[in-house]
Amino acid sequence: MILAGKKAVWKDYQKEIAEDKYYYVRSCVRQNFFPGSETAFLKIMREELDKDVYENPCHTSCTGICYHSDIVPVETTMTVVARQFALMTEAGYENLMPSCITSFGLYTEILDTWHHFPEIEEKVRRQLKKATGREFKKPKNLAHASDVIFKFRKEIGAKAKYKLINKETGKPLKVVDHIGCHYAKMFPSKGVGGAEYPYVLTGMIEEWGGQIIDYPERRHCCGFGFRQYLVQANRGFSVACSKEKFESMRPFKPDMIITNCPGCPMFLDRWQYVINEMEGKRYGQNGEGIPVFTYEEVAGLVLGYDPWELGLQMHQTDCEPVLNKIGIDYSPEDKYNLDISPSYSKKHNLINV
Amino acid sequence: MSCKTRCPRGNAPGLIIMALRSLSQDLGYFTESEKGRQQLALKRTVGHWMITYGYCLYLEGVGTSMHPEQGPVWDWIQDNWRDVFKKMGANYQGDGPGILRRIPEEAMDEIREIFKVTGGMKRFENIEKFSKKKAKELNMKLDDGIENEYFQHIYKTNNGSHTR
Repeated sequence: MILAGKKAVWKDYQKEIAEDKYYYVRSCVRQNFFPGSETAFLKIMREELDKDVYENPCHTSCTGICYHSDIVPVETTMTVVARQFALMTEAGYENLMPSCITSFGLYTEILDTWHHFPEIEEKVRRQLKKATGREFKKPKNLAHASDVIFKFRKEIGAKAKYKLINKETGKPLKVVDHIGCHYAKMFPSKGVGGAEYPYVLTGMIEEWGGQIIDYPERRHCCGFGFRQYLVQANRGFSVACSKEKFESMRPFKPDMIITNCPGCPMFLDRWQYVINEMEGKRYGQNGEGIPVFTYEEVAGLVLGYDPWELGLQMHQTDCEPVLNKIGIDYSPEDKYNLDISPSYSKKHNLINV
Repeated sequence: MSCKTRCPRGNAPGLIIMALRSLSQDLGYFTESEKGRQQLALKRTVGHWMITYGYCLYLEGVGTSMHPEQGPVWDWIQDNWRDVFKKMGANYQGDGPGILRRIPEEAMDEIREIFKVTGGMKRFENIEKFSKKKAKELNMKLDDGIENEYFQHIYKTNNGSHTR
């Protein structure tokens, strides 16, 4: 294939990501399990990249977990999402930036549905007006928060205090990327690199000095599956999916896993603990687990943020092996110390309205 | 959802299953299977959190008895919830924006009205109505909340015949 042809093909796998002025909507899972990631993300956006990010305290969950558990009708979900759009419209923003992959997939699905069935959009508009009196414009740009970090990966790399390089060997850390299913499997054109060649996390890792590992079950689901996990009786399905991935990646000796979905890092982290409890098996090197990170945590580490302010002590699988390999300056004895005030949360203004 | 990636016509079998399950809940058939009966467990956890707090997950007080896979770190987080979230820069139950903020009651009133107007509340009522009927049929106790015989039964029972 000639170069021009390759470029033309690759163009189909790119997406437009807004440059500035984002309307941020939070993730239920990330807030409960990785709160330090959302705090770090806003610090990076506002203080490192000098971007305008707005958050309205009246926004709620998109209902995504309820919708995919089938307890909330699609019309209800569409109208709650329409309310999010209305809050964004009223604030004067056009670029929607969700923290959650499920929300991102749901917004994409709803906008696609309205594109093909405009009468449904009209019905939702009437329902929203009746229930809340609100009206809305659809987002001009929809990008997941990981898309935005991907867009500015070079700027973050330029400010990096650390690289994803083993300080002892000088070699790049071997990194497994795990893309949330709802990022691009349903609508491949809406993700960087599509469903087959997602580049959103790979681009970050390569820019920050690491090396991505390809392995057979790379695109396999983490196993969340909503009702597969939420009801205790079904959790065997969930852990079995994660185990399939661990078994597949193990021969490649990964140093770490990076994820862009809020749920996936929780499952890949916790199921390693469960498999070890059940079978005495660990998948990392030297009898350790494979540390699992959110992309915000990795960006924060690269920028030199304190691991305990990023919330790495909230992981069940220890992250220290990666911190030690990189040579990050941190205090092991402060891991569970809750008396320390976070340096950036003091400076960082959470109230923006 | 991986099916949609592969389907040359862009069909999504997962969405067909969701549509069928919706119909089953409207008609009350869902209580006739083990997996269907679980809808009550989902309604009384994530559904309850959604219309009460505005979050699909609201996990303070949800400990390792229901989620043993969360491990010792979750016990530590639960024991130190406010301090941990304060350290993480959260605005837990506070006014204004931020992580796990208290969503204003006016906003929650709008969400509950949306549920009422669009059939979300009716779905919840159906799940409760048909589940109570099934609990009576099975001679199991079902009252409000999750600490009752029927809830615990549907939350924990797996008859082991779902895989080959």
